[in-house]
Amino acid sequence: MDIANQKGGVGKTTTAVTLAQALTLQGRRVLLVDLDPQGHVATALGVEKADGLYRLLVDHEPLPAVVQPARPNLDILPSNKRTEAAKRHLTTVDFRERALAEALRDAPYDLIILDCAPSFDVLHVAALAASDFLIIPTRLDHLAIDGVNELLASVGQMRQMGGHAELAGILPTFFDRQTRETAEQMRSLADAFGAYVWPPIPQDTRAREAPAYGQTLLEYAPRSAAVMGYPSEHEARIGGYLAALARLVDVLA
Amino acid sequence: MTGKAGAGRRSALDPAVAEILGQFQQRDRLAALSPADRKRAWKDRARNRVIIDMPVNLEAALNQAARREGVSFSALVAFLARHALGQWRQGQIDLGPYKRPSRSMRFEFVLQVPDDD
Repeated sequence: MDIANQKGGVGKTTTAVTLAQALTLQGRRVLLVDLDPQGHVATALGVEKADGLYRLLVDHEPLPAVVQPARPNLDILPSNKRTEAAKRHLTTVDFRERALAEALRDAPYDLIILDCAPSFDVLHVAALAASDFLIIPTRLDHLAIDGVNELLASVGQMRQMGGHAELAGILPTFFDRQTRETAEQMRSLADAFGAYVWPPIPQDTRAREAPAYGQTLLEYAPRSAAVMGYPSEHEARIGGYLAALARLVDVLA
Repeated sequence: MTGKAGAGRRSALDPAVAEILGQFQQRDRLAALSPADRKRAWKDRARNRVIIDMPVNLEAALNQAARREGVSFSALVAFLARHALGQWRQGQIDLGPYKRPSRSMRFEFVLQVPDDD
């Protein structure tokens, strides 16, 4: 499962960490791979950044030697600045787009979630080649949605070259239902992608605060709007990561 | 997946997304109204309107009472219904003598509304 958007600051890592942990709470064993040299997956889970990805892809160390347990049933393959060097290394090797898929082959997990950097580079291509499904978190603004279209165009090209990643869902994040821009972009997203658009994640300052305490959103604010959604007239709650989790489980079923 | 964006459009919307878009549409409709119409629309939205069967003479009596008290027909009926409901809950009103067997599949009894006291 690839979580990607070429635009930064759209909530990729929060989405990856929250969904990964939620899946472990349902009894699944999950590996969360950080493909971003900023190493924010480790930070979000209160774990030290490390060069796990570099050691896997460049030093060819076995996967169990480079993953770190972060929570029960949740391991991470951490990143740090050395991931940049791993990218440079990958550009020099043959079949580089398959490198990640090969390195993760037979990994003993129910699901592997790949948290991509906000760029379309060799690691991102490798992530798409290794993935069965793609989730695209996006803010509801014109530039971010342009990023969705760019990414989907790249996925389309990769499929023509034999890739098999399918769009699981587009996840609107930082959803502020009061603004006109949000309404317009939500409409155009729904017009373009129909049921691929998942219920949104409400804007919630607690999602931003959680990493400062080394806690995930589910630990820091399990009843927050970002997790539970916001109240509505007809349905009990709308959106939030629990709704996204339900959509994800449907996709995986 | 197909198309230029690499994803085929699924025609149906996620129900929660459809509800959000409906809320946006309703907000736009309200925004297009004049302030007075908007206020009325908000009031109407908060109202719960019901249609009930009522004998003509009872309606006339209630109308007369509402005029006498200077209140609306709806408000008087709701007020009296609230009081009568409280009395029924406390066993002060017995519906037994007014029940007649019903031929309807939906209800066991027909309740005869008593004539004016």
